[in-house]
Amino acid sequence: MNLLGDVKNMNSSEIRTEIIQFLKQNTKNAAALTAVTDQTNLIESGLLDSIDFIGLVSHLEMKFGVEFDLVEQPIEDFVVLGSLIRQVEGIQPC
Amino acid sequence: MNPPIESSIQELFAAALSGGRASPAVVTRERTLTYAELASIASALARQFTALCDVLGGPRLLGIYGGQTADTYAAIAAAILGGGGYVPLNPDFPPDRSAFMVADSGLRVLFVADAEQESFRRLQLLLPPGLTIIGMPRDSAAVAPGALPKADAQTIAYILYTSGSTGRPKGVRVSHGNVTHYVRELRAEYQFTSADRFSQLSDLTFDFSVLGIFCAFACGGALFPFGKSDKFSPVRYVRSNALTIWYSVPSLAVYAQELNMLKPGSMPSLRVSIFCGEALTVRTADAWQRATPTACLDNHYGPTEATVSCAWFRWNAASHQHEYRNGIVPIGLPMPGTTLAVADPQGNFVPPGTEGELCIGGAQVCLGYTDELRTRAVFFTRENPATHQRERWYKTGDRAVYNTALATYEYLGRLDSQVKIQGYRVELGEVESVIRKAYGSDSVVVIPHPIEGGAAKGLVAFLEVRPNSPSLEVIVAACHAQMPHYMCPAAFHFLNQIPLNSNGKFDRRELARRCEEHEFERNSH
Repeated sequence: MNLLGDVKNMNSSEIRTEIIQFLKQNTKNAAALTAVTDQTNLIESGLLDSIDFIGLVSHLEMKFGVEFDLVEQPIEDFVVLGSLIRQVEGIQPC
Repeated sequence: MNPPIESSIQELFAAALSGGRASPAVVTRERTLTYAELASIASALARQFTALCDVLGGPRLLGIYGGQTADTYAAIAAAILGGGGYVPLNPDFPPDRSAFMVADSGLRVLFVADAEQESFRRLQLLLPPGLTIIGMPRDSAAVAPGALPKADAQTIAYILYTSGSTGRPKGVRVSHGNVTHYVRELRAEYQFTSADRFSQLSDLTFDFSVLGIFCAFACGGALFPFGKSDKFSPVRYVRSNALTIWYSVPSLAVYAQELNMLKPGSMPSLRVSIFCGEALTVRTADAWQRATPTACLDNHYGPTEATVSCAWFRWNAASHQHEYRNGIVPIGLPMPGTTLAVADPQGNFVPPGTEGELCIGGAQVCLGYTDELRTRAVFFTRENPATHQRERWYKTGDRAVYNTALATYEYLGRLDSQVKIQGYRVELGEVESVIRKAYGSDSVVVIPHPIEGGAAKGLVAFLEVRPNSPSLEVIVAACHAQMPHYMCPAAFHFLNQIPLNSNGKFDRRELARRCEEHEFERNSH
C-alpha cells in the first residue's frame, strides 16, 4: 500500500478516463473537450491554465502514487494528452 | 571610470547596437537575432517609421501588434531608435480592446509581426481610417538611409494600457526620461553586462517586460522570450538557457513551488532574481532562494505610472531576524531618484508609522494618462519633504505604512477595488461593467477568489437572478470578446439575492467568506 494514493496498475484507457473526468470538472473551455485526442495539447487548446495544470498534476500524483519530474523532462511530455498518459503508465509508483 | 550618464534610451542602446556585434540579442525557439541583425532591421524599420510620421503627422508612436517573436523586439528597438515610442497590442486580447488602444493613443503607424498577419484581420476591420500598416522590411538595405530624430527626456517611450474602473482601459504615458532613469538605476545595482542572459516572461502589454528588453539592449545582453509552454516549466527554462537574470511576478514562483520544481540548487546559473507585481510571501522567497543559492533576491514594488518599479527590498538570510506582516516580504525603500511618502485622506503627508495612501515622487513618475481628466485626479505637484524641491507625485491608491522598526515600507492593500491577477491590474468595476451590460442588470458583483499567499488567483462573478435574462453562454462570450483572459471570471453564480451590508451596498466580504467556505457550487464554462 502506498500512502500517497490509490495505486493501481491502470491501463491507458482508465488513465485517459481519469484525465478527461478532471478536465470536465475543471476546464474553462468546455467546448474544446469535444475535440480532444491523444495529440491535444491541454494548454494550447485552452483546456487548462497554469492553476488547473497544478491541480491535474497533483490529482494524478495522488491518484496513481507517482511523482513527475517537471524540471528534467520537457513540458510537452506532460501537456499533450497521449504523452501524459504514457508518463503515468511508465513511471513506477514511488 | 564611471559609466556615461545617458539621457535617452537611444543613448542607452547606442553601444550595443553599433559595431555589428555577432552576439545574440533575442533568442526564441524559432530564431536567434544577433545585435548586428537587430541593428540592421531596427534601423531600416525606424527610418520607415519616422518617414511615415513626418508625412502623416500625429504622435511619433509605433503600434506593435505581435507576440514574443524576434521581429516584435526589433520593432520596439525601431520605435526607440526612431526617436519615438511604442504602443504594444497583444494578439490574444479582444480586437475591440486593441482597437480602442489604437484610437485612444492616436496611432498613425502600426507594425504587424509576420506571425500575426492572420489574426490581425479581425482587428483590421475595427481600426480607424488613416492608419498605415507596416511589416518587417524585406530588404533592410533598400530603405533610404538618413539621420534619425533624437528623443528628449519628455518624449513618450511607450503607452501601456491598464484596467480602468470606468469600464475603459487607462493609457499610461511613460517617457524616455523615466525609462532611462529606471534602467540606469538597475544597471548600477545589478551590474548588468553583455554576458547576462535575461528571462522575458511578460507579454509586451505588461510593463514588467520593460525591465528585460531595455536592460538587455542597454548592456548588450541576450533576451530569452518565454515560449507558451515554457511558462509551465520555468525551472527547465532557466536551466536550458543558462539564464543569469530572472524577473517575474511571484505567481510563477508559487506555481513552481506547488509542483515541487524548486529543488535546492536547481537554478545555479541565476545571479539576480527580481519579483514584482504582487505580494511575495516569505515562504515563496525562501523556496526560491534555496533553488538559486548564488543569486540575490529582490522584491520590487511599483505601479506602471512610476515606470515598472521604484522601490526594492533585498531578501537574504538576515531577513529572518524579523517577523513580517502577514508573512509578506516588504516593499522596501525607494530607489535612488524616487521618494515615497504616505498621505492621509486629506492628502497631507503623515509621519512614519502612520498608515495611509502611498504617494510616489521623483524621476520615474510618468507623464500621465492619455485622458487628461484622469491624469489630474491622481498626479499632483508638491514640495518633496526631503529635498524641498517641487516635484511631480502620483497617488497610487495603495495603502502602506513605513515600519520604523524594520526601516521599510510595507504594502497593506488597496484603497479601491483594484486587484492583481497574475500581476495584471484589474479594476473590478471594469469587469462588472462588461457583465452588467451583457446581463442587462446592475445587480452584478465580481470579487477576487481564491486568494492564496495574499494574491488573487482569479475572479468570481455573482448575478442576481432575473426573468428572461441572457444565458450564461452569452455573458461569458461578452467577457471574452471585450476583456483579456485574466479579467474574465472563472465562475459565475446566480443568486436569488446578492447579500447587502449595513449600508445597503453589495456585501463583498460576505460573498468572499461564503466562497472561502465553498458554499457556492462552481458553475464552470
